[in-house]
Amino acid sequence: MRRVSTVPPDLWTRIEADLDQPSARDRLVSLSTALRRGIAAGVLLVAGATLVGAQGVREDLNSSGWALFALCGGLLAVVGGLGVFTALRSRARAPIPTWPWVPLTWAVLLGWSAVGPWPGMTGIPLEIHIYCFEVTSTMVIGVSFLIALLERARRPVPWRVGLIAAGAGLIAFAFQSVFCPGIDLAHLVLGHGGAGIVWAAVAMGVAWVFRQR
Amino acid sequence: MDEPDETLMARYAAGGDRAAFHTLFERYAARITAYFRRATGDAVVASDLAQTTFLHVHRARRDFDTSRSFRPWLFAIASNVRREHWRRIQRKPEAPLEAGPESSVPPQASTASDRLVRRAVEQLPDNQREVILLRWYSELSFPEIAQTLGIKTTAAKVRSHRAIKALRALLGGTDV
Repeated sequence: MRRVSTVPPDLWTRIEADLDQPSARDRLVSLSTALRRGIAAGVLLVAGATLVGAQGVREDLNSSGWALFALCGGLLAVVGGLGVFTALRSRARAPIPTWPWVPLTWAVLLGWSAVGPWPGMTGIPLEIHIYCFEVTSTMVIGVSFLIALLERARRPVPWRVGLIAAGAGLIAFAFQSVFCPGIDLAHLVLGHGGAGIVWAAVAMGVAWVFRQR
Repeated sequence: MDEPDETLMARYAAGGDRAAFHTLFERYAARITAYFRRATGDAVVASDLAQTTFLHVHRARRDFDTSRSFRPWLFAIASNVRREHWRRIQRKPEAPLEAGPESSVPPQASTASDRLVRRAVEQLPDNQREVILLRWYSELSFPEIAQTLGIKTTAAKVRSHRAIKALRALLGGTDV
């Protein structure tokens, strides 16, 4: 077989034009992968600490469950860290298949359940559902935006942005348990888990519209 | 004597030496464009993807490990760009993936046997097609393909063997 190709005469000119006018984001994503991961981890750590500081941890954890709290925090750090590590992987590396995230997600959720039964409150009023949804949404949007900002992809791929938002939703879902004692199923679905699903769908929709242009 | 690719890339990564990057472009632009043209069958798309690849090289320059080869690193980026493009057009029925990709290849650049082989290559599973593109059209060695795809050399050889077997079957026993 023979190689048939001609290089378009303007290809280098087009590349140079891009190189000569780097945007702020271009500069950001041109940082090394290690540095981008470090920035993401640092921002998430500071944001997490700030949120815990502002909200306070659950009283039942505060009084008797510090080992449990440490275990959950560690689990969360591992999952969040892996997510950041994967999402910001260098384009020069072979991609990691996405299917292992399915069993990993289930393992986290099962592990989360196994360390319970969590003490908590049931019969939660609507305002609390909404409040938790807002807090979780803030986390989902924040984490997704951070990853999108540091990720090198030029155009959004719907499944990928959906995955990032869903991953952020998982992190937020777990994180929410640190300071909200609600164990009511409706509350977990509406207030904690719903934000990840809603924002993943919104992100995929926006990416799809963007792609059609 | 020509400077090795790795030295040029190191110079570009360290000090932004544009001349070094341009030399790398001159060395690999034709091969990268050919890779995308074979993958997509569309000269315009191939040119866009080649541009994207070199921009990713620029963005990822600080990730380049000078103790490793440049070619597999470059083709790993190209391979990821191709994979993303593939996913994108799979969800976009109007894109010319299955329907006559040779339409934009000029007749003089595409013989009947070329077109037959290209159609057969398009029918291979993605992991086998990738090895064929890298081995036959980009002229990478098996160790380089292994580095590019993050697999073992033996796995690259096995994929190539399976791809050739599948191509033979698709082409009705014609020598590939």
